[in-house]
Amino acid sequence: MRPRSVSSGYVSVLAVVLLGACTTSSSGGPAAALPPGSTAGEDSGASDAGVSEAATYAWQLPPGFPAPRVPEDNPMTAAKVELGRRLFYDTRLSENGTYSCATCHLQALAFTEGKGRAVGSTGQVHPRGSMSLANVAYAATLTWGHPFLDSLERQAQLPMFGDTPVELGLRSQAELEQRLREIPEYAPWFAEAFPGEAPSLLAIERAIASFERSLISGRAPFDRWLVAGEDGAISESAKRGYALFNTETFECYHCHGGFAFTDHVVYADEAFPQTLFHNTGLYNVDGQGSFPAPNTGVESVTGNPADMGRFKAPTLRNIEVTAPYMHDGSIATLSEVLDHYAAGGRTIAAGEGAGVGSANPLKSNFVRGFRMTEAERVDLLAFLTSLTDVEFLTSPEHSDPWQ
Amino acid sequence: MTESHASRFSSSFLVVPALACWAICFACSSPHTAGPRSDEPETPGSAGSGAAGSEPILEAPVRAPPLDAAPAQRPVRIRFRAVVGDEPFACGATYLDPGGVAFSGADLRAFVQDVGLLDADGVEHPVALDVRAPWQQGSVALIDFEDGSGACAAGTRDVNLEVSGTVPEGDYRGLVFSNGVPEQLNHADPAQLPPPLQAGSMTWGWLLGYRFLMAEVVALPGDAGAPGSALLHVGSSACAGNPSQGGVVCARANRNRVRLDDFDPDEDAVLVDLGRLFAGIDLTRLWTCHSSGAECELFFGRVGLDLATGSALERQDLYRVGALDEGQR
Repeated sequence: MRPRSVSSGYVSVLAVVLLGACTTSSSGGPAAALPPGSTAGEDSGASDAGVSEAATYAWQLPPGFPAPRVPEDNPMTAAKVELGRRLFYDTRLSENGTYSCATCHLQALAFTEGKGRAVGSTGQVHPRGSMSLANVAYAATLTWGHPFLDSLERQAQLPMFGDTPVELGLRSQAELEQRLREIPEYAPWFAEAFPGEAPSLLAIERAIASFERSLISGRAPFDRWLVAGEDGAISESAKRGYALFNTETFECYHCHGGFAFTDHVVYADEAFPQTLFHNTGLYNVDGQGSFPAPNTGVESVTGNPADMGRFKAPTLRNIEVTAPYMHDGSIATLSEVLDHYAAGGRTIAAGEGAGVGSANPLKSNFVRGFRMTEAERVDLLAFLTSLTDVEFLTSPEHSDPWQ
Repeated sequence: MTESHASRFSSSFLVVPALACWAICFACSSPHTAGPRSDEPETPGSAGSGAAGSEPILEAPVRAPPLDAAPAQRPVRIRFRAVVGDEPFACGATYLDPGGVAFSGADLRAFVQDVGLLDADGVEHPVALDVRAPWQQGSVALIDFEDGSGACAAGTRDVNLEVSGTVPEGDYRGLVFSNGVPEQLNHADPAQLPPPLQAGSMTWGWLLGYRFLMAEVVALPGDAGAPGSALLHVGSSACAGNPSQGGVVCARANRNRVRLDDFDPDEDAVLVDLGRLFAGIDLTRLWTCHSSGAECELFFGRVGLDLATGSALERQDLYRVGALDEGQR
């Protein structure tokens, strides 16, 4: 398979999505926000993103990536990103001084943790795993299954102050602010990022959100092939896998399409972000579609029975390094994830979580199951691993500044 | 002595050295009615997530009929006292349930809002709350009984046992207040609000709101079996919407209006009974209520809330009138 023409890039993915009968988006897909005149092989800046304040921050966007949405009250600056990076990696942001954000979001693992269920600073086990922060600037909502948590700034408060379970274990905004004000080395960094302001939770969350928005991943071998037209960047097997990925047989692209390889995206100048959630038949513990509590997905927020088991489609970028998989880490390998979807939902014969997921009445129409040859499995896995962005996983810009 | 004082239940269990005993007696409790106010589903508030320019509304609403011009005002303190049955609540204290399970209180904090006093005719006169950082702001006050010691190690050191404010001179016979945080503020960014609404243990990140009530007990290791615990977090639940697109709406507001008759602010205290809240449960297992799920049923009834709808019930058993020298001081 030859690379698609460079100018079509992710647009070709979009076209397939729009041709699918079941897309619910009325706002166009990711490529709709490609900056006018954006050309392959060049980094597209955010100068035309309609966020004039962001001009002080030099986005290094991969070709074909739209300008991220940035809150008007927290424009990106290099100083905020740098302060946020220091805060992200600082264990003084936990009550007992043992954990930072980075403890559960490791750069080498695309800012996941490598555990199916995260463990907090006091040893409590989280029901879910740490999500990748790659391209989190484009996440329409945050965490695995929250319908309206759409602010990275607000989200930062959850691991800080949440106690069910304890993550960073902070108890009081005032105590945190006082603690940081007493660290002399922070004074100039805060002063540069937030002139005239004392260190505050608002500044902390804005800085951390700015750092998180800088975590852009889009320079994997796959991108060099698809967008930059570098024919040898990925294997022929990976190219065949990408073709399978985009077929109606395998249905992968419906939920994992677009530049971010998820349907759950937002970007600048987009009025109606897509906040789609899907029940993939991972569980069916009562024969009526239930997922094991407390991991009931969107239902846990809305209380709407129809939202049972509905979770966000995570990005497939760097998926090779983010095992184990699914919201609860209940699938160890990518190959087994393919088995889950091939079966149209997972069957757990006995024990905890037992049930026939393929018979989940709330399951997404896209999870219908498929027959997959071993050669096709190899090809799909080759495609998925071509999304590993080594530059992102090793870039000093995203690394621990305290080392 | 008020009816409440006379009817408070008596301890009927063996005294265990170093252990305070408490008993459960639902039948002899004297529930005060919970009115029907504030039980509507939330409507979208103007305070979005970090939305610039959305100035929080912190003024207390005026509900009483217009008064005569410039009535004389007097300061008033509404004192709250935490108890476990008959015993004062203290983080380091140990209590014994009827099944012989020893336990301690691990947390007890509550937001109250829209406090008013009732005159002899039952007319409500709003208490204008003092601005008293970090406990009071606008119409909202945080009552905090835990001091971070003992079983409350996850808490904070400072406590607040009263609501202070001013009220027109008058002869007051009753107290009304609502649990919770005003819906206009419930989904705003705590980082942009004054205390007691700042981020901390009472913010409920996953629903972008607040815990209106946080109550927890933990059993201690003993002969009765593995130590369990009970945890009740009340806040508006079943939420949908979007802070940046018109606001968040919670179908179950989980706010109720508590009315305590025979309450004299100068003579009485509001008793908050952790024992009555968790009475009769098996503390060798875990009880967890985050304002949804079947385990909430019993506790919500005692708080005075209908679990299914989030509306107020006619009775509640968490608050009652007591003497100032009762409970934690």
